[in-house]
Amino acid sequence: MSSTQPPAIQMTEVSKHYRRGDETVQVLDHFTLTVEPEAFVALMAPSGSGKSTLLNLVGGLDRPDSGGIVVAGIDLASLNEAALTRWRARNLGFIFQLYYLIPVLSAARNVELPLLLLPLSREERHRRVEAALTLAGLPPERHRFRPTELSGGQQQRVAIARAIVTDPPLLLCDEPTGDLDRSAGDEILNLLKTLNERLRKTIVMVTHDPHAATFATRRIDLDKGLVGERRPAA
Amino acid sequence: MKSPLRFSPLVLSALRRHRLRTWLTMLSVLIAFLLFGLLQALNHAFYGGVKSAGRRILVSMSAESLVEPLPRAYATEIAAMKHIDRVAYEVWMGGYYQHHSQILYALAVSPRRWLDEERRFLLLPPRQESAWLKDRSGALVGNLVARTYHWKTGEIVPIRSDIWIHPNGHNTWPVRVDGIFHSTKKALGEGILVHYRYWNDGMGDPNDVSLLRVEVSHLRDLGQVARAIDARFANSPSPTRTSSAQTFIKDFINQTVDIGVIVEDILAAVFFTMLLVTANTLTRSVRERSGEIAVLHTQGYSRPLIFALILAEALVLVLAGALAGTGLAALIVQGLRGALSAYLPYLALTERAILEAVGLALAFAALSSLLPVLQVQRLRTVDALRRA
Amino acid sequence: MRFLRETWVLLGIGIKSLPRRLDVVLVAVAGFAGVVLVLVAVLSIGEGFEQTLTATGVPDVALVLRKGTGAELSSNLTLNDTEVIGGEPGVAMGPHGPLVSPELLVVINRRKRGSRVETNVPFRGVEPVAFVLHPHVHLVAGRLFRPGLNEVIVGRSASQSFAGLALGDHFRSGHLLWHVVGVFSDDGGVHSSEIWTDLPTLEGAYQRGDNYSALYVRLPQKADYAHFRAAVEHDPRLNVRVEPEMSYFAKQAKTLSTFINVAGSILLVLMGLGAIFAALNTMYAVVADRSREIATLRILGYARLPVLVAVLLESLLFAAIGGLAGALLAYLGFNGYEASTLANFSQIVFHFRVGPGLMGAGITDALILGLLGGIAPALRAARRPPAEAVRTL
Repeated sequence: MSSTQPPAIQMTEVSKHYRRGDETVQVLDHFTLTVEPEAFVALMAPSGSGKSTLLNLVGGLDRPDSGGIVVAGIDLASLNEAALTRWRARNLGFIFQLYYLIPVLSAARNVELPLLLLPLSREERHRRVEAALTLAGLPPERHRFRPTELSGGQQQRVAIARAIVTDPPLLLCDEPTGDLDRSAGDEILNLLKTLNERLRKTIVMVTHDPHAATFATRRIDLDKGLVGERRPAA
Repeated sequence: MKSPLRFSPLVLSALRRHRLRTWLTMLSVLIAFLLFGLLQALNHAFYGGVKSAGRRILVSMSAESLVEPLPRAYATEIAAMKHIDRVAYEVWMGGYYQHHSQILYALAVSPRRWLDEERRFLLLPPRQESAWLKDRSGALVGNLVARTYHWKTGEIVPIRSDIWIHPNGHNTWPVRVDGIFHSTKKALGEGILVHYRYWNDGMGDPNDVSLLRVEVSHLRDLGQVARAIDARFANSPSPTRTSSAQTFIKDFINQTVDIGVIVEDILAAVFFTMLLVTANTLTRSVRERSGEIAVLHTQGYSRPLIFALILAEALVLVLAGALAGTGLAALIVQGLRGALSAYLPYLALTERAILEAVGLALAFAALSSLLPVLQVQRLRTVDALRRA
Repeated sequence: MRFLRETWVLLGIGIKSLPRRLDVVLVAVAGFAGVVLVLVAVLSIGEGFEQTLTATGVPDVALVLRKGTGAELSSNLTLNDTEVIGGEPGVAMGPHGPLVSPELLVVINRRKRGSRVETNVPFRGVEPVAFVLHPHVHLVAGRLFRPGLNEVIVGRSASQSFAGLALGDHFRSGHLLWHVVGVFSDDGGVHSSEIWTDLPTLEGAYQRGDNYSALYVRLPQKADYAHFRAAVEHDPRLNVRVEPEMSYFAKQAKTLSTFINVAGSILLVLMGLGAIFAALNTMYAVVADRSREIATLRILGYARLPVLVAVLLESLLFAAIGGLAGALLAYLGFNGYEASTLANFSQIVFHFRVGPGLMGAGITDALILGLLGGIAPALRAARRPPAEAVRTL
């Protein structure tokens, strides 16, 4: 909260390429980005421009070819695979376009999954799961439903509850409204906005939808590794 | 040019979709057919001798038991009966060489009669043949036995008997190797022939034989002659039991172990399991491609054509595995044959077994594509397109 | 603790989602079941045969045969030998003199029930002392034969397996008619496959004079055997060899058990390979099917090792179910299955034996196969970068 707090995300001169068949795709080329704590950043980009790659790098799922990534003062390059995995469990929440809920588990069980990695009593886990689902706006009578019994918007609420249940400071969202209609999408975006404002979560959301970007406090246009930043009008 | 082969890229691309799965399934089929080949070879090893026995030959032995002798005089009596070409007799020596584990298939026979019957299957230098005929304590030795124990012509070898003990209390029957023969009948190569008179003199003239081999003039008389022989001696002190030589051998093997039944049971279990594996692979492959299949359908591919494509996929998968498995079995059998010739002279993968394997593979392919075909039959193009 | 919990969650999700891929799983289970069924069934033959032969005889009895003969059927001793051997050191004394039992063994043709195959059934002539030397032999029905009347008692297995040997039956062998007056048990030993009558009657029927096949001798002290053997084999009046009764019968099991063990091993290797291929196919399908779930959990902070262990455990679970099913099928289908085989020119009836040891071995084999089939897919699941799994979806 104080001004001496390190940036939530500091990417410095990050390059990343991958192979697609015979061709090499340079998705990030000496890319630099700073995200302040408690910001809600929308990364706007056309498909294939490497926005998912960027999220994967920040989430420690992938490593850059060169350059440094420091998240909340932690240099990801200094963590090995196992340490990165542990780090993710406490510090990150992921939200995907297709929710990625486990179909055979109830909503509450899905939300409980990350809590199982922490030393918590059963009662404490139950309390936190209920709190997260309530906060995410899933009606209480649906907490025991399986994902297939829920609407798309409700499934995304469960995914958001799962992302915030461990109370991580940073949420990474990959097209969170990409599979939803306008009104359900707006509800989810409002929820994210609330999480940002009330719970002070830092949120990085990649999207190709300019409307979605209007909910963020900062918009970054990403095109083939080039960054053009534009403040939203509001 | 409307060759059906123009569809082969479609079939191959389906198989290449999940290379690992295709390989694993082919290997499963390979294993099934390898087992089939090996078990068929083993089966032939046990029953191959049955077919080699002459079809017009009857075997007469004591009705009481295998080890009870019959009087040699029966040979003369039977030879005088109707529809009979020849009667030969033999005494089973129950021999072994040095140690009980080295069993010798030694028979005491009337040399001329035996040669008359078997000459067409023999490769024996005439000098050796006449030497044996003249030498009462001589023996003819099959090439396989001679090779196993490194016997040479002129050598004197002690055959010891588990059954026949000289009146003086010894069970050793020394014989001179007068001739070593090759035979087109594999089992003969394991045999040793000594003069009946040598045995009979040694035992003090019991004039007994273990069994009689009766050659009937016409195959159609076989059953009638067998019954006539048994009827003739029914009320004598030594009643006979007569059966065809093929039945005799088969019964003897069946008494030891009914290998045929066990082999069939095992194969049934193996094939059922492998059928499941293959059918499942094809079903999954078709299910994954239901979208593509629907697209083909909209492009004018008829259902029969699509079924044919699935069947072709099954055929490629199964035939490749089956041929490789059978080939491997043939190689293994070829390799084992030399080493096991002393124990299993009939160990072989016959053409018949190979043809059976191919037939089985075709049936196998058809059966395993049944399920996916039904699946396509049920598939509604509209639904599948939505999933595509 | 955390590791166990992660593994448990992954395994639980895997098991809960089984119905979704039941067909693939059933194939793997059937593969394991097939291997275990065949293997246990084949080995139960050897086990049963060995069981019968090792259940024969008692430790303090020795068998005397003519020197140079391998089996009772080909051995030949005389009354004179009996008297000499009865006087050798170490032989136990009974109320009527030394405990030595002269026995004549011949074989007769009997038809196997439910088949037209004629088989060689052993026919043994004994004196009353035989029942002391063969303590396992006891009547279970009818009465004992009376000497000189062509009466016989028949072993239970022979009575069940061969035609015309039931209690009260008459059967013809050669020119004689025999009457079955009793049925006896040998507590699972080979004598159950035999027909017994009194020695002089059988000697008369087969014109053997006072010749017989073998002599059973009781040597109560363990140390006596060596003494007795040395004395008998060096006695110039005798031309015989001595062997402990139990080892004589146990040896007969060797050829068949060796053949079965070799055949069983080859079958295990080949069918095992087949089952591994089936398991690999299944587990790769399972892993592919679950890749999104696994990636999601990995992104949530689940470690690699629990993924590996959970997939392996799933494979082992299939193996255990399949193995158990196979072993049970083998037990239901083959335990007690009656068969007979030719040993030394006489039929020995025995029963396939699917015991707990064999079933355990079958299930253990299945678990090993499950481990082998599960390891590569498990490694693939654990190694796959979650970002890649998510991207390809």
